[in-house]
Amino acid sequence: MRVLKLALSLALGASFVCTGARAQAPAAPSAPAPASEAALPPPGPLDAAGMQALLTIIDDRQRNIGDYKALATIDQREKDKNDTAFETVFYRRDGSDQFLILFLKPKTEAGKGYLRIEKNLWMYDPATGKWERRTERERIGGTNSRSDDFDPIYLARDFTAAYVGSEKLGTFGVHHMKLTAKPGAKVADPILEVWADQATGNILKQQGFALSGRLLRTAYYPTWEKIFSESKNASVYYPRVIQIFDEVEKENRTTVKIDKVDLRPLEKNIFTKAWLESKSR
Amino acid sequence: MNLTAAGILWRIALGNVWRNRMKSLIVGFILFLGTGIIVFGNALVDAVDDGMTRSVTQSVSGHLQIYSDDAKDKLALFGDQFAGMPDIGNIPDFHGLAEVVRKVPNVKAVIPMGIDFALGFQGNEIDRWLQRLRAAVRAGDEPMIAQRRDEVRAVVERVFNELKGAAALVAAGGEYAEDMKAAERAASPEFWAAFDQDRLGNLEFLENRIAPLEQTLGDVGLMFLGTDLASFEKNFDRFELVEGSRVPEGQRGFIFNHGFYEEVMKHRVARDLDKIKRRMEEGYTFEADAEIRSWRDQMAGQYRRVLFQLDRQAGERIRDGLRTLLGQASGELPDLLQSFLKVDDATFAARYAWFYENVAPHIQLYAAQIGDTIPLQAYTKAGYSKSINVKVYGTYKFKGLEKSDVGKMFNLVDMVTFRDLYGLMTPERRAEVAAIRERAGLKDVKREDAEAALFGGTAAVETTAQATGFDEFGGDGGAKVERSQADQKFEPTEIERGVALNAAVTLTDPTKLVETRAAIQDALKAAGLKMRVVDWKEAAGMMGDLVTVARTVLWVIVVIMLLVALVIINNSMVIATMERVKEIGTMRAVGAQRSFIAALFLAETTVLGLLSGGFGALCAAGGIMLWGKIGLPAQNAFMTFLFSGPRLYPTITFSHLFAAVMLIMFFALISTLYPAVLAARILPRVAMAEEG
Repeated sequence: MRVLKLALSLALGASFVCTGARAQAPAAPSAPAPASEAALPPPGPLDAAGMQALLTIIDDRQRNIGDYKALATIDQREKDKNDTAFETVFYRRDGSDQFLILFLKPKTEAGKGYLRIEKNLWMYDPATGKWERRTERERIGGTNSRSDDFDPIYLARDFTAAYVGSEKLGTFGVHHMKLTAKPGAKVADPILEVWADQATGNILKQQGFALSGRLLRTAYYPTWEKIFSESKNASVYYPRVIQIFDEVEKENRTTVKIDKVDLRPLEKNIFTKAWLESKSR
Repeated sequence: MNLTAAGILWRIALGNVWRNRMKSLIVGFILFLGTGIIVFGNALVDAVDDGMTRSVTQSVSGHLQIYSDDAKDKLALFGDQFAGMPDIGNIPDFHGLAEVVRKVPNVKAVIPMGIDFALGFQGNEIDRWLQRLRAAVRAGDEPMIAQRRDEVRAVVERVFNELKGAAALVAAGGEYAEDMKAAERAASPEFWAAFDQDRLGNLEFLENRIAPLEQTLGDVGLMFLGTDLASFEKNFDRFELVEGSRVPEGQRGFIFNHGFYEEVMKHRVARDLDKIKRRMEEGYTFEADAEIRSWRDQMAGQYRRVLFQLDRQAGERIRDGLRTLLGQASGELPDLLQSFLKVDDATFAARYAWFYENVAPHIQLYAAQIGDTIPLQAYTKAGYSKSINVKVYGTYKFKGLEKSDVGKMFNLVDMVTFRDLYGLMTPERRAEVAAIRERAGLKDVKREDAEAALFGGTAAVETTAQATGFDEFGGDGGAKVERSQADQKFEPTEIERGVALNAAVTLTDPTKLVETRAAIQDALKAAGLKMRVVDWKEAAGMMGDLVTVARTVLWVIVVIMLLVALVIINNSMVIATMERVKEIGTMRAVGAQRSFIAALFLAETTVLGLLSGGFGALCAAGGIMLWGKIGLPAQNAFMTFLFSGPRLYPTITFSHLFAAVMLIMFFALISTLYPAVLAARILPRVAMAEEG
């Protein structure tokens, strides 16, 4: 996988050289057909190879070889607290594992942001001008959403899968799998259970557990959209809506809605502290 | 019964007490002991009550507290039973409330308050150096950039050398090899020669590749009390500034609690040394105490917290000093620091002093120094997080409560900063949230029916969308945020004009607390303000209940003891009565009435009770007076709070003695009633028959 990431980085680097920042991009050189285009495993119980294949497809579908930008709304409802909502924009450069989320609204939140570069997740607050080092479990803006809701983790690379069963989720037939984080993997939840649609391969439900086995949160992905990426020469998938339920504070829930996606190349220096700082100076 | 008969009765009673010495001794000893315990217990509880009253009223609560009648929870200044801060609503217009309360007779002062919780993020040692360099780069201060760049370079070289020490891991490849490569690059002369060409880019490389090589410190939780700082100091006698200065009038500012500052904000190694020193002062040694050895070993493992804080010159100076101190001609700083921190009984005192003399001046001894500007981040009432830069002016303590956990609980901040961090939901914000939701067309899905609502139909889970370019900064999305300025001033009148969560009321005459409380409640009601007025005990939450619990426990013990005494006295008297049948029969035969016999028994108990109880009370009084001079030492932080200082000095009052003797007399007489009735029923012929 690291070799793949390196290859992606190189390809991405090459595209910058060719296109320049924010250019109305000529497409990056066509890549070979990615794993996301591979055939889905058949309905019914999956063996280890089948699960690995499915998770690889899921991982690959959500990534773009080029850049990715999306406008998202985060809505948080909490017990005994005022409801909050944010309008945000998030940026990804999957090839080099870079991610940035910038808060646009409400006014008091504008300019705040999270920047992830490799293993570092930074939080910036323009009110103090300070950068703070945060962890993967950081609740984005104090909501139940986390950075991996916007920047998907690598299920096939970071987890070992065990098949739980072929089940029904509402009217949909799903593969229910239990994923355990591999040693050293930097993930928010050490144990995941996922329910993947047998017909489309999309994850419809995901639960995160602590090592003790305690359920921490449940997320539903009722709608997936795919958008064609020229740089990837295949579709990039994203959940249009994510419904997140806090399983510790049962009354707390968050809705993330992705309104618009833009796959044009981003500014070269966008994943830097200086860029985020410049948005609120 | 006439006076003559009464005289005869008391004479006979006194005689009987003396004649039945053994019985009198047993019963008397029980009464003596009982009285002593009651006196001791009452004086102790009163002293604790008084100590706690002073701890609470003179530090945080005042004599009364006022808060919203719409509060969901009860006010608990020191936390509720769930160790959380209760939701007590707020006082929307503190000034209006204060104006009403100040007019009530006996009110000395009304002080606005609010308790909240903020987070402080620490990063790690390397992060701190890099932050300093970033600040200099941001400011474009060239001399400062040059100085801080060299400091960072020295630290980076140390990181590289440390990593070289883990050669085996690096040789194993994987992440270590990549880390080594990054560290090698960061320590190379070429990197630093080219540093100025792309300062921000190189800084990010150091922040993202080098700083994570050091362990990140945990976040620090700061509980703070927002108040009118000048009024707080004036009205709470226990307040004492320890270091730094007062926050100037009309200025935002933060004052650390000194105990918290020493135990949480201090450098980890210095804190460990202090902790070991305190333990050794209690008589523990490395040789005998496993815990102290464990602390020492953990401390030695923290040597990098010192290593990475030293600039090049300080590092060289300390290295040379340690070589001399440890008698090692060679040896590099990391090894020398580890050896230095492996203290034992023989070396601790000297190394402790050496650390503070030679190392402490060159490290950041506290995570935030006095004079620094620190960011405080809190979750506001509106639901959003809010960060504010605030200057640290000094540290304070509550006199006598330095060792108490409760005394270390609150840091202080000005009321205006508190209000910003508390951040009520305003109508504008509410409208903004509604607009965001409406624009996004968000639907609220409830947990209970989420799966049916989301997956119950036949809607496709996968659709195809068209890429839509958008400009996120085209509208008002690129709104600029005002940077929080630590030196921002405000009008002193602003302190009162706005929200407070609660108000402390101090009284001129605390003995009139009950009447004043009622008067304030009436005044607030008349002014149309729906507020609760509670005394300090209620306001202290669980802490306030403690004295009541302590008093109840004491009385339960006393009552159990008195019941036991009652049974013993009763048995002794019954046996004594049986032994005195002949005597009583004879008395009856010579004309003593039944009432006389019963009165005689009660009189004997009264004599015994007064003598034993009185003696017991006097002995207890002597003991308490002696105890009051020496003081009872507080064994832990909680006892320090209860005792309102390191020792408890109980005092004795006449009421303690009187109440104890009366109580013991009451129980003694109750226990004599049955034997007295038995004795009164003895007939003269029974005595004669016994004679026969």
